[in-house]
This record gives sequence, structure tokens and C-alpha cells, in this order.
Amino acid sequence: MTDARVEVSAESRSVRISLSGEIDLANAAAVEDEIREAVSNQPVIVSVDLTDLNYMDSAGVRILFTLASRLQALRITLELIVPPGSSTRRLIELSGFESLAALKPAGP
Amino acid sequence: MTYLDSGTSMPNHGADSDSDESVLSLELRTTASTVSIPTIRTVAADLAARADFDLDSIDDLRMAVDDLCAMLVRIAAADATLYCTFTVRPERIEVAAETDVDDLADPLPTGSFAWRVLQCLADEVGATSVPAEPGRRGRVRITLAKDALTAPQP
Repeated sequence: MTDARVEVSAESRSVRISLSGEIDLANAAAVEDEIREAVSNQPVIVSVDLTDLNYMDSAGVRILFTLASRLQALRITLELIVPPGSSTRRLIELSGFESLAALKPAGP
Repeated sequence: MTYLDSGTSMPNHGADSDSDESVLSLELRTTASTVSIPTIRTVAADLAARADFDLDSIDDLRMAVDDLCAMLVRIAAADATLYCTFTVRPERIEVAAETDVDDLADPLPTGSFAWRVLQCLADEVGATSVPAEPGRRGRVRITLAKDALTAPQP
């Protein structure tokens, strides 16, 4: 079974979601639910930190696209923290996600 | 598409090109379930690493094989088997996977997001299907090929 952890730290204006482990078809729906619950209030910015994510396939990218379109409708800014050169970064770049959210190499 | 004759599983057994000692062939047969996918993608990455693929190509093949299997698992019939064959050639790995599907008008998932990702990750991608008929399940087969070196990004 594929395991992922979703850790959420929320402040008044921002939510930071750190993903670790692996995301694929087996656990994508569960991860998506956890992320949806994490953004229940109305922050100004949501950052998703993929630094500690060991593996993600296109099911993971779908989660990010779904999140991006939801946040766009709510006028909430989305940023992704993805280490340069990682396979996750390559996958995100291949999928054309950069038009939807800023990609940052490291967190603040 | 002779491989679809009833009773046959995978194609090209003993084909001349595959009897070469420099070509390694490996077959996995699993239940068509998400539980199988981590193992299959790990095998893919291991084969690529042993074949001296560069790191980006190993990552690409791992994700491509994952997506390929995930597509088939999504559309597989209940209790279907997933067949996955790897052919490791010098500088190139070919993957063919197939599974049975229930009656679907157009079971090829070639318009999906995962399919577009697959096309980006692999050097060649193909899919074929045979529709179900009364008393016989359909079958979908997806193939990909990945070269050892990732072409430099422009």
C-alpha cells in the first residue's frame, strides 16, 4: 500500500500543506480529501510543500490541478515548493502546471 | 493482433530479436489492482538502473510505468489479471502491459490527462484494444519505450 502524510499548519492568512511519502492511484483520493479539509477557511495564500515527497505520479498532479482550480475560483493564491531537479518537479513541469501556480525551490 | 487469440497472454515469445543474449525479457503477472503498482514501478526503475539509464530516464520510466499500469487498473474488469512485460535492450527498455476489460464502447484511455503525461515521459507510446463481445471480455494493451538518455530539454 502507498503511504503519504499530509501535515497542515495554518495561520490567519496562510495555510502550509506539507506532503511526504508517496502518492499514486492507491491513495490519491485520500490525500485529496485531506488537502480539501485543510483549506476550509479563507486564507490569502496556500503553499504546498513537496520537498519531502519521495514519489508522485500523474494521480498526484491531478490533485494539484484540482486544488489550483478550486483556489482560483476562491481567489486564493497557490504556491508550490518543489526542489529543482527532483522527479516531482520534472513531472509538474511536464504537465504544464507552472501556468497555474508559482513554483518555488524552497520554503521561507 | 494475434496476441488476443483466446488463451494467449503475451506476444513475441521466442521472437528472433529477443533471443539475443544482450536482451533481457521479464514478465510480471499480477492482479489488476492499485496494490500491484508500487511493485511494478519499482521493478521498472531497477531494470533501468541496472541498464545504466541516466537518473532522469530512470525517474521517467518509473512514472511512465506507474501511469501505464494505473490506466489499465482503472478500466480493468473485476478480478482481471494485469500482464506486464519488460524488454531490456541496449540503451532502450520496452514495456507492454495488458488487461481484460468489461464491455466498453471505447476503452482506450488515450484522451486522459495520464495519457498526455505518459506521452511526455516515454519516447514512444501506443495502445490497442479489442472490444468485448457477448461471452468474451475485451482487452486493452498499452506499450511504451524509453531510451537510456533523456533528450536535453530546450
